[in-house]
Amino acid sequence: MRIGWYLIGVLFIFLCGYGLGRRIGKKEGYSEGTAYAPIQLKQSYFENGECPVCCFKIDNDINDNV
Amino acid sequence: MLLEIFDITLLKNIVSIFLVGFIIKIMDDIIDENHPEHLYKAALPYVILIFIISTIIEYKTTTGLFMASYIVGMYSDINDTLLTGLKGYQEAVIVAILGVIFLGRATFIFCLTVIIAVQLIDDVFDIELDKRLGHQNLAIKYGKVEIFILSLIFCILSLMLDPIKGLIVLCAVPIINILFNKLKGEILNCE
Repeated sequence: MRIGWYLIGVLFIFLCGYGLGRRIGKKEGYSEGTAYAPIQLKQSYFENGECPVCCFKIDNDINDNV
Repeated sequence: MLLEIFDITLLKNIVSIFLVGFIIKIMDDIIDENHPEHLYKAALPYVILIFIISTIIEYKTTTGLFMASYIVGMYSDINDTLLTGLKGYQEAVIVAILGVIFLGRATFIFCLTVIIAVQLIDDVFDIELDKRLGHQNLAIKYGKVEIFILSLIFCILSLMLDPIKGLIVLCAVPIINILFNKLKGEILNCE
């Protein structure tokens, strides 16, 4: 009987820690992701010359002429 | 003599739990799935007959498990007005009070914990299916690991309250699932 209560206690603490950690991690990850996304999109655009959202290819010759 | 009594009691428990497990599974299937209407009509007499047989064999566990599954199954319709004109949670409270009065606090709490454990495990295993069908599920809402740990807690609690019956119920669930799906497949193929 006592072992059962110990096991339940351990599992409950693990559940609280895991649940809380996951939710905090999700929030932090979301705010980090929203901060990083514009930089990453711009980098991808400059490196490939292609819009990362609609895949529109920018013609370099036109840009040079302008 | 003692061994004989124990064996008969054990056998009674096993048979009644298996039978009521089938009843709960059929009820669950009728509520969740959209089978042809004549299948419901055909199934109803069998359901009542199997339930009567299981209550004759062992009434306390059988009715306790059925009432507990009724309460736990009410979760999705908790705020809906039901056929009786009562809200889901009101019916759940009434059934719980009746359960405690007629079956005793210990039996009813055991039945409730073991059914919650089974329901939580079921939610974890059905997560992909429920996501595809758009059904509400605790594992989808609160996370797979969280619900799995919670189901373990309820499993341990039910085993502490009644080790033999708890073990029978937890072992019976996968067997009933397999048998039921096989039987259902055969019936639907015959259609």
